[in-house]
Amino acid sequence: MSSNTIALPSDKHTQAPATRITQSTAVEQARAVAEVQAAVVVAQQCPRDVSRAIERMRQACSQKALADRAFYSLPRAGGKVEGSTVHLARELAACWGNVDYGIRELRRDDEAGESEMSAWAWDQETNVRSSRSFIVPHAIMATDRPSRTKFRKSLTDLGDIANNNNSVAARAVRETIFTVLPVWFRVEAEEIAAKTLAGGVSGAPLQQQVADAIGHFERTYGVTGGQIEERLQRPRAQWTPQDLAALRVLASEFDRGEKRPVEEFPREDRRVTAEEVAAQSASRDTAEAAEQ
Amino acid sequence: MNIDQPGIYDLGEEAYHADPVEHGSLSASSAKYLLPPHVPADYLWYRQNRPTSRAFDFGHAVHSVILGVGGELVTVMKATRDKTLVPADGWTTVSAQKHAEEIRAEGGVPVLESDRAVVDAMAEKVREHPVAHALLTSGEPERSAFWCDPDTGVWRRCRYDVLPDVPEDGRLIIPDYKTTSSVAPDAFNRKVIDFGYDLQAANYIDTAAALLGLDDVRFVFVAQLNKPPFHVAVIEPSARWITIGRERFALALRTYKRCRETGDWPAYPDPIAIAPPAWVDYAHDDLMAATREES
Repeated sequence: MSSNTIALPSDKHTQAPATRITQSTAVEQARAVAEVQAAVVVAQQCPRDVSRAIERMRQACSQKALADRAFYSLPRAGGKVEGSTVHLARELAACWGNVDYGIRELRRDDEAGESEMSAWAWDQETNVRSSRSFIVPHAIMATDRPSRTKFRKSLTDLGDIANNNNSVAARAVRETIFTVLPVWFRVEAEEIAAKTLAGGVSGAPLQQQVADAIGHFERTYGVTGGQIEERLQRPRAQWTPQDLAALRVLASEFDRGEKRPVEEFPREDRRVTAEEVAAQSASRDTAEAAEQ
Repeated sequence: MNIDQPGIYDLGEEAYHADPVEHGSLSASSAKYLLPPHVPADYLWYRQNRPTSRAFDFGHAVHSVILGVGGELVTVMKATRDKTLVPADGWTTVSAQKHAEEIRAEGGVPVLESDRAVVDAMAEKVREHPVAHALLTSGEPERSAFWCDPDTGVWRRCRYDVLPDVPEDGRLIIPDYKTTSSVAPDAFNRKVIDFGYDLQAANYIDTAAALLGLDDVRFVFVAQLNKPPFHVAVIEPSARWITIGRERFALALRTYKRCRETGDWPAYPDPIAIAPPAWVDYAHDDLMAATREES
């Protein structure tokens, strides 16, 4: 390697020296360059109609199916992190037009248990490009049930590794898309989506929707209001339309069998109540009377 | 009697406390002597000198009446100058102490006549408390349980005041009766710290879970004020308390195993350095600052 090149951490993993490339690689490289040029030329020849882009965005964000998936909210370190989801980002990229985005796994090291990933978003018309490269460890944080301590759990299953890589990369691609989109475009989209959520499915008042949601979860999945409160990290009186949207998405995932209620809602720390003691006592008395 | 199979047994109190497991087992009440501020040498001493104090007899008497088990209450008598026997009004006379010893030897529970009224009043108050009464009558009283800790191979034991019959939903609520000088939450919390009740709660829960194959076991104290008006309170230690108790019990098991293997039950190491705690430091600085202004 000549002295004026900058060494990257990934260089040591490069299999062949850059100077010795095969013919097919050379063809691929030329093709990639041509593709980039063509994309920019095409994009400039078919420029986006901004007013039509706005129109499409307004229509998309008025749809409940998108609004339900537009925001996320997760408990983290005692507080919460909230924001717009990758679903909203992708939809807005499509509405804005001439935006290319994606993720790529650059390198996988099974020995070190990590993947090097890159995510990008590219406005082909203005040729504004945002990308990030990052290392994704093949691991997740898990909780040890008896002691309730968190620990790092290594992933070995290929499907688990792929899912983990994709979900970390999805968050990165979301950020790159929001970087190339105009801020005003995103802000208006979020406002409309929030308004769509506040309208709710039935247009019923929020309190009624909260009660309906709890009822649905209890009847259908055996999940109590207390368990949902623990997951959302706030009492039901403080639930927002976004929280209800997240529950609707979760419910549809349960219905499709993509997620399981017992895994999403570990049993809450249900305190002993006077009613419970009385009920247990009554059922013991009945059992005893039946025996005699 | 020797116990070499994990399980729940109906044992007499003395048999349980004598530890019927051949190579020894650890209970919560003895485990606390293996943990700071105690040292393993305290544990050894405690095992060899189990107390039979007055408070112990009083608590014992209350337990017997409330759970309807244990030895019979026998009024302690003392001899007067003309050798007639009258109920003792205290524990100080030699003849009263001798009689108390005799009662214990026969498996009874010595009680002063004045205490007998207190015990009856306390039992009445518990019967009137619907939740406490339901909890303390939810199963077999005074059951002893033994099992081998999977992590250390050390046997564990505990004696339930009441081991409830497993309810249909599988959620077992284990009560434990305590007499105390205060049932106020903060004051009782202090008792948990002082007497290591967290160890007991965790040991009761984990033992029941292991032996009965349950995964939802709760523990509550039925605490009663030991003076009028004998308030009763049902107090549940939080999940954090149980975790603390569980981790401390695990530490006691490891210490016990190590001491037993090496035969070394250390007391305090020499020499020990001590420093003033932060609050003394601050108070002293404040005092110096104040007197400097004066002079």
